[in-house]
Order: sequence, then C-alpha cells, then structure tokens
Amino acid sequence: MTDFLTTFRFLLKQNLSFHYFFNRLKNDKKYRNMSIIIILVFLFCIPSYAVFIGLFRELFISFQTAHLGSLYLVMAIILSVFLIIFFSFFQIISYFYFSDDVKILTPMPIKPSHYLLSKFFVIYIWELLISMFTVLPFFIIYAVYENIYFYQWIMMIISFVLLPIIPLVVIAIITVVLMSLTNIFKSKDALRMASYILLFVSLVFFQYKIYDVLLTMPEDPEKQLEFGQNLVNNSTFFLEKFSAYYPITKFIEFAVSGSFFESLLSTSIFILLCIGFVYLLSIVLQSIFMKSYLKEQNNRTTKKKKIRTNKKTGVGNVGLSIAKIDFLTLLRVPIYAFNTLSVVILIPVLLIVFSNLMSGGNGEIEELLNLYKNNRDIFWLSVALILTIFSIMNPIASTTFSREGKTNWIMRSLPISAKDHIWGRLLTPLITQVVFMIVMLIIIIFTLAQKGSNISTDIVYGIITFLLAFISSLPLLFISIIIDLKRPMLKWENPQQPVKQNMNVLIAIVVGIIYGTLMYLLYTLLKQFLEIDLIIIIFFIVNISLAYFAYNILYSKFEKSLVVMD
Amino acid sequence: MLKINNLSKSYGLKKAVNKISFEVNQGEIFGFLGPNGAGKTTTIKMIVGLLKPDEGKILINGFDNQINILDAKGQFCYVPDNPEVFEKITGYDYLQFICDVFKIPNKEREERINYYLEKLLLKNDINSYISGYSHGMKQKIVLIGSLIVNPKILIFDEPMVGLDPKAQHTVKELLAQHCSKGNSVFFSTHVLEVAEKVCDRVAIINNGEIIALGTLDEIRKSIGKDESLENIFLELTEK
Repeated sequence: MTDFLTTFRFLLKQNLSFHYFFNRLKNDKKYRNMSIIIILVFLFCIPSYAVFIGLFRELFISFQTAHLGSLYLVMAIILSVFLIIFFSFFQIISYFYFSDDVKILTPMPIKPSHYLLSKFFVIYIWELLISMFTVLPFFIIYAVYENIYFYQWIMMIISFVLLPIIPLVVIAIITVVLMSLTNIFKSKDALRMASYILLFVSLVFFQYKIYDVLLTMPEDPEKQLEFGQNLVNNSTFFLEKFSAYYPITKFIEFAVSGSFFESLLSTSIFILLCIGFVYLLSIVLQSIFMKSYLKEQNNRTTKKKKIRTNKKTGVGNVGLSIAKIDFLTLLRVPIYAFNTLSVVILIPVLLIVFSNLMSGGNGEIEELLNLYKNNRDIFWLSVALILTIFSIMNPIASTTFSREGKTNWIMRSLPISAKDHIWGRLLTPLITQVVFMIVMLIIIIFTLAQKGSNISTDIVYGIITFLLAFISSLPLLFISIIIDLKRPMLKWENPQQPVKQNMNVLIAIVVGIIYGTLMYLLYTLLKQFLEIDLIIIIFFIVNISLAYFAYNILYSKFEKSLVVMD
Repeated sequence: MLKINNLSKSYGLKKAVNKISFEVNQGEIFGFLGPNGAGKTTTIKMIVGLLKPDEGKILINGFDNQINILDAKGQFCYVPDNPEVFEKITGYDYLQFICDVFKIPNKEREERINYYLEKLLLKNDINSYISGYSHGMKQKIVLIGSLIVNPKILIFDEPMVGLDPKAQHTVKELLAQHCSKGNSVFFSTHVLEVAEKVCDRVAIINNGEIIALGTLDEIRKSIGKDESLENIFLELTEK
C-alpha cells in the first residue's frame, strides 16, 4: 500500500504539479506572460461556460415540466460514459505502453500492480477533472431543483466521484487485452486503430439505441398507460429503465431518491463494487499487461526490416521532405493517429450513424426537406463554417513543433528557409482537412439526395462550400502554427502530452470559436444589405486577406522564433 | 571559419557564459573542454542557433548567425550531446531528409551514404526504424547525417559518448579526413585523451569563462609546466 501511495503521489506530482507551475511562474518571465494570456483566455471562456450552465438549467426545467427529470440524470450518466470512452482509450495506451516512467519503475523493487494501479488512478483523476466541468453541473442542477435531502446530496457526490471508475476499468481491461492480442500481428498499429474505431462507433451506436428505446412509447395500449403513469408519478422512472442496460445507474437512483438506509447501503455497495473492479484490473495488469508490455519492448528493439535492394532517392523538395516526416510520424504513433487522422474517419462515420438513426417518419422527412430547401444558402454557409473551424480544432497544426519534442534540434539547426518550414508544416494538416471536407460533403450530399433533395443543385452548393472552407481554413492553420511556434511544448514524457495536455490546442480551439462568432456576426450584418452571392464573395475576400496577413506574420517571425523556442 | 566575440548568456542571475572570445581556423580541429556545467553546451547551442545570446557576435564562415541566419546554418552540421532523432522513420529516411535539406544530388548522396554507412558499420540497420536503435547507433546515424553534407565546419557536442572503441577510432579518422579537405571541426569533449591526440588547438572553459586557449604547447608554456592535458585541465579547473 505504501508503494502504491508513494508512486501515486510521485506520478500525480509529475502530471499535475502546481509547485512546478508556481515556481516557473515566479522565475520565468516569458512563461509568466504566457500564463497571464492563458488565464485571460480562461476568463474569457467563463461567460460562455455560464451560458452553457444556464442552458443545462433551462433544459432541466423543461424536462421537469414534462416529468422527464430522471431522464436528465440518465443523459448525464451517458455523457460521463461517452467522455470516458472518448478520452481514456488512448490515454491508457500512452500512460501504460508509451510512457517513460514504466521503463524506470519496472526495474525497481515495487510490485508491478502497485505502480500500474497508481498510473490508472492518475488517469482517473484526469477523467474526474473533465467530469467536474461537464457532468457535475447536471447532478447539481438536478439536486437543487428536485430539492433532495442533505444525506442524498452527500451520497450523490460520492456516487459522482465513483462514476468514472467502473467504465474506466472496463476500457482499461479491453485496451490491455486488445494490445496483447494485436501484438502478434504485423500491422498491429493499424489493427489497433481499426479496432478502436469499431469499438467506439459500436459503443456510441449502442448508447444511442438505448436512449432511443428509453424514449419510445410502447405499442401495447396497456403498457402505454403504464408508461404514462410512471412518467407522472415516478420521479426516477428513466433511471430505473436505464439501469436495465447500465446497472450502475441503480446506485445513482438510490443515492438521489432512496431513504437514508437505502442510500447509504447502495453507496456502500457501489464503493465495494468499485474496489472489486479495481482489484480485477490489478490482476489483469499484473498478468496480461506485464507480458504484453515486455513483448512490445522486445519487438521495438528487435524490429528490423529486410534491406532494400532497390535504391531509393529523397523527395527533393525540402517542404515536401518535412511534410513526409510529419505525416509518417503522425501515422506511426497511434496516439497521434487517433487524435488527428482518425477523426477524418470517425466523424463522418458518426454522421452516417446519426443521420440514419434520426430518420423519423415520412412526414418528418418532408418537413425537414422543406426546411432545408427554404434555407439552403444558410445551411451550406453553416457547413462551410463548421468545416473551417474543424481545421483549427484538429491538433495537427497547433502541435507541429510540440510533437517533435526532444528532436526539435534537428529542424531548428538545419538551414531550412521559413517558407519551406511553413509549407512543410502546413501540408499534413491541409491534406487531412481536404480529405475530411470531401468525405463530409459527399456524405451530406448523398444523405440529402436520399431524403429527396435535388443532387445536382446540392453538388454545386457542395463545391462552393468546399472552396470557401478550403480558403477559410488557411488563415486558421497559419494561426495554429503561430501559436505552437510561440510556445511549443517540447519537454514531455509520453506522446499523449503534446496533443492531449497541450494548452496550444485549447488556445487554437478558442481562436476557432472567436473566428466562428466573428464570421457569424459578419453574416448577420451583411445579410441586411446584400444578396447571398455577394456575401459569399465577401467571405472569400476576407479569408484570402486573413490568410495573407497570417502567413506574413508567421513568415516574419519564423527564423527568430526558432532560436528562442527552447 | 568560426569567430566568437564577447559572447555572453545568463539564466536568471547565473552567468552561464561570460564574454568569451575565440576563433576556429580553417583546417583545424578545435577542442572545447570544461567540467560539467562550465558552459560548453550553452556556447555550442548559441553557435548553432538553438539559444539566443544576451550579447556578443558569432560569425560562421563570415556569416553572422543572428543576421544571416540561413546562410550561417548552411555552413555547419551539428551533432548534439544527446542524439534524439525522429523515431518513427528509418535511418535511411533520416539521411535522405538531410540530403534533401542540403540539396545533395541523388547520385552523389548514394555514394556518400554508402561510404559512411560502411565506415561506421551501420549498413545492416539502415532500413530499420530509429526507435529500435541503441544509443550508439543513434549517435552514428546523426554523425553520418552530418558527415555526408561535408560542411565547412562540423560542430559536435560530446561526439564520442555512446560509441564503441572501434567507432571512436573511425570517427577520429573521419574528423582528420574532413579537416584535410580544408574544413574545420569544433567539438566539446570530456575525454581528454581524445582531445590531446586529435585537437590542433583547445579552449578550456570554466564557470562560463575561457581560462586557457591555444595549442597544448602554448597552454603548457602559459602555465609554466610540462604536464599532460589531464593534469593541466585538473589544475586549471580546480582553481
């Protein structure tokens, strides 16, 4: 136990060190200035967060009026599980398989299950922090408006804290087993990526189906009556229904609605169950993980390809050469590939799944189609804006220097011109963006055609949307590179950090939101005076000018920024 | 070939490098010696453009590395003390990248790559991912990457660390060969024996200041003792 606590404290300090933060804040002027900017960015986000909380509150009030209060908590639990599935899989891979500290801790006289569990709990702390900002408001709003008792408040908070543990253990076990099974295959990275995408899409599909089943009124008139009565009289109706699919919900149900003893007993069982799951994980980690980890390390050191007999030459162009290294690294590091390239597949797949699931009856389709036909221009402009913002949401450009980490000396000491650097670093995010846009637009056009829209008209709109989004992506990609050029995260322990724990990604997202807001405001201003064709032309001109200015700022700062990067 | 004038760099209140000046001449191997934390790596990082000096001037083959940044970088190749290289590409891809940057024609690059791969016995591993390389192999690939360019000046920070004795011997030969073509080598080292055997001139840095500069004979004369470099080094740095 002491081993576990010592390593947990050490790893937590390494990952969430406030002491390091304040110390650097005190001694490093550049870091201090940048931190002030980041704090200001956060302060800027507070009103938006407050608006979101307000929306959650409004949502609950409307749910409560329709006797759907418990459905609101079901939504929170679904969101919590979704976040864990989304964030934890690659976090587990990178913390367990690609982190330097496992190499350091393995030869030490500490039981592997102790330091591996302490790593698991560091991931859990991250998940809990994310949940505190996203899921906890749902619980608090529910508790406030349902006027639950004080003991129920306490049990609810304990249940909230425990909520991520079981799904996280399940994902960890799946990951360890998957990594262990795929170890024997030649293209294991590709296989792991495909397995994860399949797993993620299936889980999302499964969650959505459950949600759909919960809300569907039974066809049998007797059961309809029962459904209606339950809806009105039973404040935890949906929690009870959902617990048939996801039994953990039962603990939340008792925590927020049970008597003191029910609530206490259910929370105690929940704690014991979590301990049981963690114990199960410790067995899996000790047996399966250690074997596959050592095998993985062995593969790394013995992996040798057959020597090529045919002579191969270089790319020739320096920019292309930089882009080639960037792309190969993205492709071959699973964490990078998942966070940057897989979304090109994942988001369109989710779009197809949801568009099929959300197809209502014929009347609804006709209504939607009419709505689309009457607002075709604004629909495609919105698509262009969403596609554009995706370019900055994808962390390829905003982590271009950070991902190089300790190898940054190579690009910085070589005689590479600013122009070659910029185009080399722009190419991978731009190609990814183009592929993503094409796939998304094809899906949208075909989905609309399936619902009865005119395909040839939609293709024309699609092409204009593509061109506008392509031009508009350029300034955002240049800005992303500027952000990472100015404050790269070059020191990291595992490849997860430069893409998942990098403030630059967050700053780029905030820039994307500001850009989106400004473009929307520009549209609302222009539509009062101008026709849509002219508005589109103005958008082209504005974005080309923005791209020109952003490129020039990047170009002028480049060489000198490389010197002071460290 | 390399001219350092009045170079200074501080980290907070600590003066890492304090107004140092020296020159590396054409065709010479120049050793840069000093104990841990003396300012060797900081100086080298300022020369190759990885750190900005607080004051002073660095001219590389006549180009000011603060003004003509790209021209200055075109004159040298750098090997750091810790050879961290892109892990997810093969050694061959890395060398091709370097050749692309320095615009070495395709025919010539194959000859040069093969020559140095054979010299440093890395031919069998060149198509493996760098992630599978040992420390010494990484060191070799970075050294080859600098040698194939045939730059005016090679700048190495502890080039012998991690190399086996045979490879160390080959590197010494290759450095001499490089200088015989009218190029120069500037390198830092802890291995005084290597410096004594290979270097035409040395500079000893301690606490950010140059405390001795010249050929071994010149340094011996200046301190008035006919000692080995190891003894001179110990005496000067313990003061």
